[in-house]
Amino acid sequence: MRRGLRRCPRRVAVALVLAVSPWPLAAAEVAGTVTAPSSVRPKPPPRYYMGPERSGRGATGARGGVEDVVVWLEGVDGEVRVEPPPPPAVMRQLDEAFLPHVLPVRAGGAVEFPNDDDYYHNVFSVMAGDRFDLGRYARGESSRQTFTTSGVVVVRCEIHPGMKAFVRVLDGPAFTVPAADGGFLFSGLAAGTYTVRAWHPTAGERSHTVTVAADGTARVALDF
Amino acid sequence: MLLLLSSAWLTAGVCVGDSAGDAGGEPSRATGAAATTESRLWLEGSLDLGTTVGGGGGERLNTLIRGDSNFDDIRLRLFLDVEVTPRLTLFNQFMIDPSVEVFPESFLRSYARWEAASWDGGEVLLQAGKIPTPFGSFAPRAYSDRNPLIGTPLLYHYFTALRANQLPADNRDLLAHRGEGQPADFGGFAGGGAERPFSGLPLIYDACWDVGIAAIGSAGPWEYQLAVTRGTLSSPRFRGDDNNDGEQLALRLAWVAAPGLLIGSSWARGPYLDRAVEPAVRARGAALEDFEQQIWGLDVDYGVGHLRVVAELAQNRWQVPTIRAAGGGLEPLEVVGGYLEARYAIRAGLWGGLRYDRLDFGRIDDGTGGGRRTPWEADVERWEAGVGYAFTDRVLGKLVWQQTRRSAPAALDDGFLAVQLTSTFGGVRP
Repeated sequence: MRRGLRRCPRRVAVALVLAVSPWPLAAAEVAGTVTAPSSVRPKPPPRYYMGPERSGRGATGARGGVEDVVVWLEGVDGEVRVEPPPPPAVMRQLDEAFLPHVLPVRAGGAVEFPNDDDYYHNVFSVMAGDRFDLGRYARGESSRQTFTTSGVVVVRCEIHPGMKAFVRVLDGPAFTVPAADGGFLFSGLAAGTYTVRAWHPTAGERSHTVTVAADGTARVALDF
Repeated sequence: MLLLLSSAWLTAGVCVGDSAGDAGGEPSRATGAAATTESRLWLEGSLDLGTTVGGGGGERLNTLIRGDSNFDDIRLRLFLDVEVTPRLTLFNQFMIDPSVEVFPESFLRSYARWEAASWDGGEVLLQAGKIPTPFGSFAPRAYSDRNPLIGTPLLYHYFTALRANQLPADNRDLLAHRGEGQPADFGGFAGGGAERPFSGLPLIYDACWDVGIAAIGSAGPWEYQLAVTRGTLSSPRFRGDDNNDGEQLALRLAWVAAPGLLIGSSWARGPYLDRAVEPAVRARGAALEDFEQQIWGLDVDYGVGHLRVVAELAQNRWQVPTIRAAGGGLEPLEVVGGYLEARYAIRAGLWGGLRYDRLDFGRIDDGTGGGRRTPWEADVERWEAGVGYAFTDRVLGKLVWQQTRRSAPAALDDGFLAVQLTSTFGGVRP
């Protein structure tokens, strides 16, 4: 679907979404784009060389760009359709990195942390409200953590100091990670006023309030 | 020194046009550089605030040559890491401790790391400058935000009575000064050398890194290191100058035997005596380089669930021109040291730590002609136990008790309570 959003004009994509929508066709929608900071290369190895299973040579994927943005719509209580759909609530541990680097989850929801590396990992957070320590576990094993408090939870691995990720816990159901081109769409909305917010771990938060009529489309551009 | 200056100049050059890291801790970028080759810079630091309660001498045994200690009231560490290219990184560290006014250069650590080769499952990295201690497994935990406790194992800092820059006249002279390794305890040997007070030799002195070059890396489950340094583990040359004409060779090989289990072995050998004792050595028809420190060690690091256990064992020997066996031949001074350390995460952000370490000294002829043999230094053992708590991602607190016992003739049995608060700032790395 992300590819589709990239290739098709926005109106075509919206039309496709609405065509298969179970919600009334008259529903309002909020469409937008996010312009994020450029992705950055991974950090260099740690000051101390840490050996074959702690060398820091992992974390090869770019991050810090639009893939690290979470966008959500405030003021939504009921069902809402989101494009692209929110990523699954899974944060892998692979190549000495958490993947994805930023993951949104609804408050009360659980995130799986499978270890896909050949060596041990640990997952913990000391953020107030959602402190947890899942201990060390091996490849093929997974642990689950439920996040109850809305906000930002910094996740780390006690074994690999360079591993760090963010779980963005949100109260409402309307959230997602934008497509690669920064596009997103919330549809099936009732007419009204909504606040669109976007958050990036280093660039901070942006917001924009829009009013959308029934059958209407409000467009938002959020620039980091 | 040349290596240090080179690294500092390279760093300075790269930093021109840079801004400090942004509030989010991500790296800043050097201006005017191409996207694929641009330099990146991290400025980070940590601040330790602490105090101790009680103690009648045991605390003093943590004091280093410079006069500072892990238990000082204030310690500030600054880190400036510069990724010049994706394959070349400069690491710079500086520590500020208000209690110390001497040897400021010993607080500067600066070295370069170049990725010479890498492949799927391995790499070869070359390091040059004032490089991390090429022995054992404690060094990465020497930073307060990585150390589960506050103190440093005896193996890595405790001063024996033996000195690099002054010789005991004979066995009896050495035995008379047992327990006087701390700088303030200096008694003065009669065998020649420097007259100014100085500390004795620790087995490994991690507080001051040595100047040299190293090849490090891994291949599959193996980790290796080969280093050549100007000084030795017990007497690193932190200024970059050399105190004799020899170099130290250090090797390390470690194996990931199973997930979470690392078994390593280290070995190092090099001449340690200082030129200050050269006349006394030559008078005996020998050269400084004939007398070496040799140390080998075994280390194990195992973690599972909420538990991590680290243990090290090392056997060290110094050859000394004036220490002789009853038969008249030279007799080395031997020491066996080690520690066992455990850290258990009780709950998120709360951990308990425990370390037991000791040094057992070998025996030498007591020089009285009766053939009796006695330890050449007073054995030492230490317990350190405590709890730590991560208030936030950036602020840690520790409360520990340290108890040190030393045998006769320098008997001591003393403990004290210490509390430390550590705050890290700047970039996102530890």
